Amino acid sequence: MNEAMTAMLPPRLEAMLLEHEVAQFLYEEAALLDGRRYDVWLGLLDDDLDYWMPIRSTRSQSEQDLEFTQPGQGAFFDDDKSAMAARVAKLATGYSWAEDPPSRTRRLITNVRIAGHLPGEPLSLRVESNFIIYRSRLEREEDLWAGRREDTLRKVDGQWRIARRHIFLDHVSLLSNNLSIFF
Amino acid sequence: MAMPNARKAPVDRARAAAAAQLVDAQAGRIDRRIFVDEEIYRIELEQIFARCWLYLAHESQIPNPGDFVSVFMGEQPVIVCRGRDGKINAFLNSCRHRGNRVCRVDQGNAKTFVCAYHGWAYDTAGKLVGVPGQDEYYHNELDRSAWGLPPVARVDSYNGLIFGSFDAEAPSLDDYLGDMRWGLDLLLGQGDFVAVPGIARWGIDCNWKFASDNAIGDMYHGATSHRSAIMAGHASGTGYTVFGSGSNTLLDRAFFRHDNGFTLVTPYGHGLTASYYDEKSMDFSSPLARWRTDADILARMGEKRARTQRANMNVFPNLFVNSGSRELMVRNPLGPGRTEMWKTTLVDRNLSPEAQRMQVRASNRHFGPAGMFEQDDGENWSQSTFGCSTPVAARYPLNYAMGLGHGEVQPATDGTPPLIETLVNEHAQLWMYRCWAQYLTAETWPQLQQDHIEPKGAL
Repeated sequence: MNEAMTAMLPPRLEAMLLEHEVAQFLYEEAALLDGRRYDVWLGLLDDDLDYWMPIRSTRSQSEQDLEFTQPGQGAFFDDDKSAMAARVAKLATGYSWAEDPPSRTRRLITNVRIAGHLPGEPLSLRVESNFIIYRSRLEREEDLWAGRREDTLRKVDGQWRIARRHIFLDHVSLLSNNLSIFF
Repeated sequence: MAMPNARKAPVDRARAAAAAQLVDAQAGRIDRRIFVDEEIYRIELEQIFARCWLYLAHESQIPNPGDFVSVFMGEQPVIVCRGRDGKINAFLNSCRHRGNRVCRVDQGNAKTFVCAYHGWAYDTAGKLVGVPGQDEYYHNELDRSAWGLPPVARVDSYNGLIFGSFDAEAPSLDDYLGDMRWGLDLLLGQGDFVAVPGIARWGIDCNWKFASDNAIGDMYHGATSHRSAIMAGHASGTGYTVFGSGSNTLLDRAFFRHDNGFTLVTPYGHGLTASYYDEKSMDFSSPLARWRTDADILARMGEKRARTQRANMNVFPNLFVNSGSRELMVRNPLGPGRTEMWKTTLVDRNLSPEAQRMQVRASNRHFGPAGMFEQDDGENWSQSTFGCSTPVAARYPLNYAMGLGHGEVQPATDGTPPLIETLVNEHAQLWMYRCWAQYLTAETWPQLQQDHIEPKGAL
């Protein structure tokens, strides 16, 4: 559907189409990661990427605002585009033992919501989603991660790009040997 | 101070002596059973984790009265809390009434710790200060002074690092660390450090000793285990070490050369391996390299430490310290085949916020479960542990004989402890297991102090 046709739609229908488009993009992205097509996936990340997974701690009810570390503090992932490119390059070396032989993963991305439009051009959205990622490794190793993501998606030349991804795991102490996959 | 009515479970001396025999230091062979056997693990919890000085926390994590962190000593939950008087207290996190943890959060600030089951309340020194129904139900017959949270027998700090021991007979922390203090100052002497908020915790299906033996002296694994990270251009966690990518990397440089560094081992099982830097690989203009141009710090460090690019070390039994990426990592055992990592990054409080950010980012990318280096360690240590658990392979000992007999300990010189002048060897690892065997068999700390081994001759 072209821009002119979209403009003629009632606002709610227009919003639904955008929600659909964003959800489809996240599903496609998840399929690329499950399919280990990291070089293609890297192309979805914008040049000013902020990819961050803070550390969580168990706090009392009155200190829930302190559960997660802040930017600049301890983090599991604290990457920009070049750091992420290095991660992808690492996986392609043939010596990346934690992923060679590769993990078998299945990403379930759900509860996709557009949380807001950011001002200015190009079109930029705050998008929230939940995930469950299952990993099977070697014979019997299994991992399960659950959490929430806050993304900034940007439409550049008709293509969605991920400019920011903040990942909030539900774990405090991770049960997995490592985090050698992407979220 | 032992609490009244405390009773310690006896250690099976014959089992402990048999376990100690599984380390053959002369031949550099170690029986695989020490990494998987449930009974040996139980003995370790008593003879090592209930006796050694264990790292608890960094002083900067609890700056104010009432501030606390909830940690583990071995498998034992412990609260480390700054009292109203400013003193650092450590005591068991287990109610004296039904055993519940009186604190179920990781950190915070408290006036009292109140058990959620029946409401027994303890103050910031672990003293029992409140018992619901003390008059009516207990007829005022409960002696509250005898039912406080048992204190960790000894608590002391070294340069901001808080340690504790459950054994009142343990030597002083200074005596326990001995020459390892010289090693720890490779990191702690670089500046005035505080702990960065956020302890990265994750579990690995490995025996805790595989993590410790990697920390104390495995400069052999880097070129293979971490090859992919190095090839991808990730050099180290220092934030100011410069390496190329592709073939022009530290794989080709001095980093892993046999004679390009030194090894330290000290009584009670501590040790480190340190590599020298090469001029081409350092960005001395980086704010993170500031200490390397500070005349006072260099004078304190002395020539040998000033030339060090980075050291990996282990304070026995389970504190890994990296002087390059400035991290403390505790490896808490959760059974013979499971270990929980606790990673804390230190940062120099005198650096600018931008420089601190640089360093924290470098550490975040380097170590931790997603770290460019460390993600491959988890895979390897779990494989080592699995490889010790299978019945037929268990008949064949593991080889710890690299360089055996070639590690000549050089005598101490002015300000420098006895060192071995090589980088890639297994002296420190084998040393750790020799000390491990002594902990298993020695009945008391005075006996350990009398019998402990000193590094000398050719290891």
